[in-house]
Amino acid sequence: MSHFSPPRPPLRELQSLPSELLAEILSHLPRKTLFKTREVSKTFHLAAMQLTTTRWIRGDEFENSIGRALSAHRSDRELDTRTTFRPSTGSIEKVISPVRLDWKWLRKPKAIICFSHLRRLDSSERVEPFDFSYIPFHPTAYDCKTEVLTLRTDVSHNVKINIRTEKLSSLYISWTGWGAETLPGLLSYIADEEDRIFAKPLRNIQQEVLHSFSNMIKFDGDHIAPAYFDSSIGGMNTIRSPLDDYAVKFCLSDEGCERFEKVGREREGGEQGEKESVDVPCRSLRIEEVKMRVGFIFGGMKDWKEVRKKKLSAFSGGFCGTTFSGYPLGRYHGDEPTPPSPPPSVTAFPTLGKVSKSPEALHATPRTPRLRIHNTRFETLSNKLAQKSIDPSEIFKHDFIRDYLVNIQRKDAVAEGEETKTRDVEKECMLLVRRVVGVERGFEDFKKERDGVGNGRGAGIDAL
Amino acid sequence: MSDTLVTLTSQEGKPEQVPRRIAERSTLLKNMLEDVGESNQPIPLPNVSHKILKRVLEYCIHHKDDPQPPSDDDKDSFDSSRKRSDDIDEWDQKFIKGKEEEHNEELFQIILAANYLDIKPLLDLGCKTVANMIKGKSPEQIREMFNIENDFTPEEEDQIRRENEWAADA
Repeated sequence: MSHFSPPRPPLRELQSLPSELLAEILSHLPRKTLFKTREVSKTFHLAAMQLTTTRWIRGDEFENSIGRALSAHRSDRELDTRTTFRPSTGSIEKVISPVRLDWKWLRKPKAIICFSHLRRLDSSERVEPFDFSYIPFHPTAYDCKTEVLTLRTDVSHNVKINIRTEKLSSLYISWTGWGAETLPGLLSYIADEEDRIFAKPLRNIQQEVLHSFSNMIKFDGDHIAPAYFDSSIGGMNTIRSPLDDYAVKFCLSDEGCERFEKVGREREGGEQGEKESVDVPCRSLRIEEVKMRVGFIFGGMKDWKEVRKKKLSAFSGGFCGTTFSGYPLGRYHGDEPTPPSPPPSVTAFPTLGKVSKSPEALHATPRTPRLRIHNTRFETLSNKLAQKSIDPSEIFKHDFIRDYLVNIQRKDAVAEGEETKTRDVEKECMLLVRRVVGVERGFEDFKKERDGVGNGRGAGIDAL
Repeated sequence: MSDTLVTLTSQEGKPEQVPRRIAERSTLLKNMLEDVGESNQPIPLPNVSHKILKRVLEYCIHHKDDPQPPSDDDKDSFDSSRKRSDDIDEWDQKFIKGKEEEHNEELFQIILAANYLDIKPLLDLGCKTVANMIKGKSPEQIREMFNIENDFTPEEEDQIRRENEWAADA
């Protein structure tokens, strides 16, 4: 009898793990090893890409993968002749070379975030556009976990964001820069798959969006690496590199950019590497950083008028978990009176795919008793469904989940002194599950179903 | 209430009785027990074999006094993405190693069970163990170890390799 133990069988199961679990495993790897694992197989590649929630893909990484997908679809045939505002010249021009996004490299995005660091357009002087070549990275990334694509795009690049609406539950445009007045120019590029323009040039946009200035920072910090000004670091503004390998620090004053230095990659042990001065021809820039954000929610909504009747808070959790409490979407169309600005305490940043825990958000609209499901349960269920990729329409084929939901509903009903039998528990649960899972159907479908279920008691999307 | 026994039924239908306090190391079971309230009904765990269930419970019993890990929401998102894999304590190392000849098979079953039952520390332990197996290996070695087929086209492989050049000395 041999004393040698048999060789270990190969870990065949690794490939068959859900990608979330594989990503969880890979998240324990050092950064470089993580990137190297992308060479193993497509499964590994995808899993590694999912780990970009808080780690930026290197700028050139992005350029090489997603960026390549963008440029690959540039062709004469796709040239857009739509007129648009060109901030680089300050005039109305034709779009020259729109680029269509190809999602083959991406999982379906839940949101797209565009950044634009633009020069300040001054009425008295022409300032050269801020030159990105002086920034050693591109603040651009695709976050596979939250499924958010972040594009650093200068309007002068004429990036056309072409999105298939069924793939997109929300669209946010974040705007940082010195050219606030160019926002309408960018928005004019946004159209749906049939080239219907969703985002028309907006009037009064600057004033409106500036209300959310303070929230903008939090939003960026929570969901994407804050690739721009962080004034909290010793009076210096810092732009971090995608992987925190280095940072660009600079100092702005009323006179413009006074100092600009690139801090090299940190060595092991926390010591900083060489500092390299970077000559930045932006002395004429003044501190007039404008951060703007506009939110749009797609999701089968065919008529903007319908959307405009609803407050954005009505979609909380139901579509993308936004907590734009008190923000009527219609304001962004500029053809209605400006509504009062939201209370400062309201958290106006999206928590993609999650139900916000912001107390203000939770109580933005009255909650009906029938939907008083504890958020922890709600999120637990949400995570479970997401992990298992359960189709909401199939939800009640899973006895365990069905029982779980029904028990919760029954418990709540008893607590409220209602008769369980008078409720259509399954339908209520279905609505909840759909809200957890995300946009599976159009707004109208939700509304119809809601009206059919709750006798007008608001069991549907308004409940949150 | 914490001393009451809870019956868990494995994939094979075998019951396993554990104190509620132990079962509640699993977030899934904890939520279920809270929702169901007092009940003698066994809780079916169709995704967990009896053998793995016993291993999971062994882990839960050993860690019964550990504080509950913070939820993902409570963690700083940036820090949570920078995880370590060299902080496994001795008992956990022995536990996850298990029987030598069954190590690989069991490891993945435990990871899946921990994920299903939502036992974060156990899931972390399993993931760290696999990550440690990957560390220091080239893509070819990883493929060999896990019997993974290289499904890239030569062009795709070349492209990714070029993109990874910066990490070549990893």
